[in-house]
Amino acid sequence: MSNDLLPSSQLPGVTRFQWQQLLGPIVVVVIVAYAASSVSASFAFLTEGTLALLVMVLALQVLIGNSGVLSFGQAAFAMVGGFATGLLTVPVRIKENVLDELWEPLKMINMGIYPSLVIAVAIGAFLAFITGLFLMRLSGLAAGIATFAVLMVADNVLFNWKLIGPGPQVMPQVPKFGFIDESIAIAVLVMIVVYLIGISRRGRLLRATREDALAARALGASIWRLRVLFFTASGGIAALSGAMYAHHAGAVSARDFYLGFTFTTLAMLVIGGASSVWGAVVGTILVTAIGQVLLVFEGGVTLGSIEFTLPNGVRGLVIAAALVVILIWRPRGVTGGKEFRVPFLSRT
Amino acid sequence: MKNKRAAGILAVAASLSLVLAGCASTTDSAEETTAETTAAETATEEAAEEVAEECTEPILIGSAMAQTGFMSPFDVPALDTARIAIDATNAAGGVLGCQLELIEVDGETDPDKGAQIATDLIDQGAQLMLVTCDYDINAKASQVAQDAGVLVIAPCVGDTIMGPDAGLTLGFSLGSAVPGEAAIMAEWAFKEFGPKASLFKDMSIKYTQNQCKVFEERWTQLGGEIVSAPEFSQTPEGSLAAPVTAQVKEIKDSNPDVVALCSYPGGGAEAAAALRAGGVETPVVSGFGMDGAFWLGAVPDLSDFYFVTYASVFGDDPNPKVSELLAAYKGLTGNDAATSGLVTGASSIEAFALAAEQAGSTNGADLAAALEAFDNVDLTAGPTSFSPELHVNVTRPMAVMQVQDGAHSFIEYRAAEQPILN
Repeated sequence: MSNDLLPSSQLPGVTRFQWQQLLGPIVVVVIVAYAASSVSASFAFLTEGTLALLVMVLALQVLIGNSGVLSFGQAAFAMVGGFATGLLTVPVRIKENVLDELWEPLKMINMGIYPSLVIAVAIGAFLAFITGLFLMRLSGLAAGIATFAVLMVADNVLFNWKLIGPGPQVMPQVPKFGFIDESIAIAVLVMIVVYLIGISRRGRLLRATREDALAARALGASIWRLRVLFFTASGGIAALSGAMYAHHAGAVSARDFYLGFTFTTLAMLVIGGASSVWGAVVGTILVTAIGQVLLVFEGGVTLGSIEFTLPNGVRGLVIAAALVVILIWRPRGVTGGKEFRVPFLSRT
Repeated sequence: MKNKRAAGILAVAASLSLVLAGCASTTDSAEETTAETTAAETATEEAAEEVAEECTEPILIGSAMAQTGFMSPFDVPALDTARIAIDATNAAGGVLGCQLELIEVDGETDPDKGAQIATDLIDQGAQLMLVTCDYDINAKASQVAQDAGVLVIAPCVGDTIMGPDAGLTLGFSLGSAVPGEAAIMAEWAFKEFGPKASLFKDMSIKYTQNQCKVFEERWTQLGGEIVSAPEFSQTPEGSLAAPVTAQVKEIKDSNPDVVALCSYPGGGAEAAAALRAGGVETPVVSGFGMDGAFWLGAVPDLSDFYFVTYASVFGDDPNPKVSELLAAYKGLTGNDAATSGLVTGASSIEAFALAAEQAGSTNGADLAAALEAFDNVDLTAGPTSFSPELHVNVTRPMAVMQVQDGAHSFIEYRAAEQPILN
């Protein structure tokens, strides 16, 4: 097995199930989410949106963390997920008023949030499977560009084709989640799934291919098959993220999932550490927190007798700078790509 | 090693794009921000001095309008005149005996940011939410207000979707909507220039799409002919997504009497420049989206350019209310108005104040019912009517303006003879 050949102490990414690795991030997410959402209504709103982003970062982690293949295209599946759930849950009357060019059967469908989430995930995973069949023959830069092309294709199709969506406008009146608990529960579920996928036999094999493609192949691993599998899983989770986002914001449009979304979530993953669930969690929380602190400074902060005010729009620059500094300081991200470990407790 | 390299590529790409994103959202004007801060302080001070005795706390008005981003040229002036109207209302005793107080946070032309701000301000007790003048951008913020039972006004949205059609029973716009605006464009251009029109369609936002749709329908009703209708689109940052050389050639070859440009700056300005640079010298008619002189740098010495908008900001508007407001605006900000959309900001506050007095409350549903009863109520933006089906104006007269040799002038006020409602 791959553990014998590649001792786990030298590799980011885990090989054996450990409760602390799974429960640590979950406890942190649950505590931070409830604490933040109790601060104010707007923090609750932000937290719910951030949980959707966390699910997207986990979708990226499943693929990039395990396979080492770059993908700039997963937002395409989030877009599909958001549109799918929107079309399935927006009231028929609103679709008739607002989306006049929509395909008639799509206008007539209406269902609850949860069945619709399942369908959105299925559609996302299916499309990811089809695209993955072709794209996962590539790696490195070629994969990065090809997946980026997927995003551009999705954006162009969904932005212009009004038969299957709102086109360039927003789709309003998407039913919202009633409680923050729903987003937290979904995020926790995804964390469990992603962790289990990561430590599964196939997960370990895929990480072996990431470290040494030849050796892994000699073990009988089909790199392509493994990557397609994980690309599909990642696409499904990304679609779930897009759908969560739609039910959070109450409206959805193609522009919600384009470059800003892609690079924010990638930055979260890279800053946290791409090869662990813990890294995804830390990165998401850290980038959101930095953004919020800067937002406060943009509004003006008085410390003693001095008032600090940052010009509007400085946030983007500082987050970018933080990304560079963190990567110079810790190229594998803040967590070093390691899973959660209770500090000072037994080393395993 | 491969992994490290991958991380490196990722990092460079991600940081580059974040820097780009940062640049894109810093396109605000420092001057405007300063002017607004001063204005806000003045407003608060005045409000504090004049708090009516029977009122324990002021009525809060929240604004998530954009002070940065591509909607800011439309939102900032409208918000400024809202402030002027709030001061005037407060000086006259307030609403229901209470002073009005404006809390504003920059919505950054960002739908999610707008929704978060709306959540926050309504949590602080806002009784009216002012949101950005584009439905696609404000949909999320409006939904937040609708769900909370708070009246939401997008001062200058020009789309009938703002209201019951999109499920916003508490959503209104003081704008003059496209079914009227584009019908005026068609009626006036048909009368002036004749039967062959080209449409130059910006597909980026719903406003511009509807504009050309209505224009086309009214134009053919009048017996005119559409000889070509090329499309283009612009990026969220407001520049052309791709060069429009081929589209301009298509228009030129179809030899129209007039070109209807359905767009807004900066891409709209680039498109206008491309028309003239491509040798299309026919008159161009456009709408509120192309109001203002701020984009003329892209097309110096522009001539034969006409647009339909709220009022003239170039000192020649015959409506005294408009001149008064423009003078107050200059006094407040030190600047001349960039576009006439600003009349809708003051009118939003006027409408809110009237509705609140009539309803005797600031409850969202009560205010909406009072507004729906408006029938040609005389506001700064002109006679204003709403109905339970339509929360935007389509029959209000609008100003027809012209640009000759880079200079603007007022032609006439005109109402649509036949607004095109679908």
